[in-house]
Amino acid sequence: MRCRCAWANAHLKSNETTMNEILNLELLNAAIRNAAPLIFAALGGLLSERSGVVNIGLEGMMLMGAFVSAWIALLTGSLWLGLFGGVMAGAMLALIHAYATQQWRADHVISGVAVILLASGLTTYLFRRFIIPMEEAGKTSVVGVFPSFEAEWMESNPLGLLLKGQNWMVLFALFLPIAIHLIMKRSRWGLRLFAVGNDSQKARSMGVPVRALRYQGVLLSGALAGLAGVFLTLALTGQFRENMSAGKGFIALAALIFGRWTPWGAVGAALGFGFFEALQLQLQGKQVVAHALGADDGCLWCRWLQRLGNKETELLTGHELPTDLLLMLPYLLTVIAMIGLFGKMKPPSDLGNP
Amino acid sequence: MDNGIGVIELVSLGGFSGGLFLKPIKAAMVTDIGGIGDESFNASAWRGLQRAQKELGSNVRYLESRNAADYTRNLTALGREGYDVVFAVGFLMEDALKRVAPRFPKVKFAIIDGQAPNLPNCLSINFNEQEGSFLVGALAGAMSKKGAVGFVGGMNVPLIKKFEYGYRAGVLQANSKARVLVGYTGNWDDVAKGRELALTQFNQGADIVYHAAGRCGLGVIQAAAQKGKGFYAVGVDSDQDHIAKGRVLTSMMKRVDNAVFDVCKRVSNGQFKNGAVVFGVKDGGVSLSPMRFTKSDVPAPVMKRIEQLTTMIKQGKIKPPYNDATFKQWRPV
Repeated sequence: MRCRCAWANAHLKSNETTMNEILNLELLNAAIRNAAPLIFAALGGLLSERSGVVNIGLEGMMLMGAFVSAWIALLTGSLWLGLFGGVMAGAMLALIHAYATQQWRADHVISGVAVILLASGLTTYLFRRFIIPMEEAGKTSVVGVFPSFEAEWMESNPLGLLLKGQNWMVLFALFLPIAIHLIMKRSRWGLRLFAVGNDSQKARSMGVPVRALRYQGVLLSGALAGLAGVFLTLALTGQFRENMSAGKGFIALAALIFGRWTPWGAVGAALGFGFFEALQLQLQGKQVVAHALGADDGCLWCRWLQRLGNKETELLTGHELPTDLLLMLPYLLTVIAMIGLFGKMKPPSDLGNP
Repeated sequence: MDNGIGVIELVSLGGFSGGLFLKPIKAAMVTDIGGIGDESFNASAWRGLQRAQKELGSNVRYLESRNAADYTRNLTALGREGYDVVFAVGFLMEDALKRVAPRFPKVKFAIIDGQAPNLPNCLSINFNEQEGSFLVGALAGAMSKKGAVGFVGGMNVPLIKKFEYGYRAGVLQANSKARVLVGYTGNWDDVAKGRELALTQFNQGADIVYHAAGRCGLGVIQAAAQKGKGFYAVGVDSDQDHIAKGRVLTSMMKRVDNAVFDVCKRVSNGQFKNGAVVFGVKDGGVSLSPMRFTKSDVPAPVMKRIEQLTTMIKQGKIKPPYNDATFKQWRPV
């Protein structure tokens, strides 16, 4: 019997697992959804870092946004108020970061770490203090999500399939980079922000209010990171859970750096990551196609992966690729793609300086 | 995986039985990195301690571990403070316990889901998760209209593999042609990823997805709720049926709380025994939830079959597989 893994059967149309089935529009649909929070946070990071302030606190601002949006939505019953609250919460946390780095000239990285720790502790505390008792009293802590696009025409139209089941926040994530690009390249404010990040001394001598611009950049980055958190609760899961940002803020930061601090680069990296993440999740489901009732011979590829992943497992379930390897895929491929596609890194030259 | 020394009765005997001999104890637990709010076994263990506080008058406390380095530190701290019994929650603490337990011979240590060192003051508490998961699989396999079901695990570790293999065997038992889609999120926190993985499996043809993924699993339940009629999630560890009423087919309950409470009680009345205990379907350590919201969805013959299988597990006629090797040898009865 032949190996029943996706790879071995890619060319067989009659087989249930074909490459076509893996590379479908649903995959792209999921990819956009995975990328959206990364896009928000990465573009937020861009505004901060272009002004010269390192912002590794994105993760914390995201978590804070997620918690506050869920909490407010739970209390008021309004998703829009939740959204507003989440964005403001991210901005407030960013204000602390701006104050520490600009007023007190704290090291940007240390302040960023403090922001993350603060957000993680505070959200956990508040969640257990206010939301868990609600759950224990039998009330729901699920606030629901923004309605998604569902229409007949979407079924047959490729564009429709991409948007099917998404909501307006996803669309917003796709349009935001255009806006940020125009602001950075065309507006007075954007150009000044750029100048401040590249050479604050020179900008100051030209009469640009360096500190004010940096405050604005950092605050906006907090608001966008907060929006990324809001996306997790009000667009996807409908609830807050401890530590639910799960490192997405750092991925967004990586996307920003891989994208060489440009909106398009950052969005490209975020979309790439989202795509590989979706691909990875699809492949995981494909691997255990059949049960191990009868002996199968694994294909070469499976055997090789198996050997890499788990030496003790025999080839009886040869179509089973090691999960850990698949989980690594998005990270690995994003790095490889970025190394290959883009040249030398060129951060804002005044980044991290007081 | 046979029952070791001293099978502890999981049925609560109430606060009064043997109350004459109860002395108020100090009991504490150390969580693993999941923390007390993991919606899983840490939370469940803490419920057990809270019950001990209420019913036995114990003085209870927990310490959370943020990373692996905290295990030894937390266990040592509680040992030094002279707690009567300390629970190490999670197999990740095996090594730390090996180091700490010999230093505090007067303190009793119990590890949940792990192997305790062979010492007079140490007890390991394990569960036959594969038995409950087998029943979930049998139910899912019989209920699936599309002939495909899914499994979302947290991390790919032997403990979660017990859930996976038991489940897969159960599905096979009910429907030998059914496909099982298996996926792991790689962590316990990322609710959005749990949701995405469940949606992926739904799109790949599954209509019931079972999770053993801590907080990620709440995303799985959310995905089933968003898909609506015809799609189900299956909860784990505690009764999660109420989270999305009617969309959680059942929950595979693992009564860590009862086990913790029982050990507290045994320490209180001086009946603590070292060694190992294993809880399964037989003693109510793992079971399906009462299915308050979905009972009417399940046809009577299916329900009857599940009861039959439950009895067979209790009688030892079915031994669900719990790892790769046992799964390969396993055949439906």
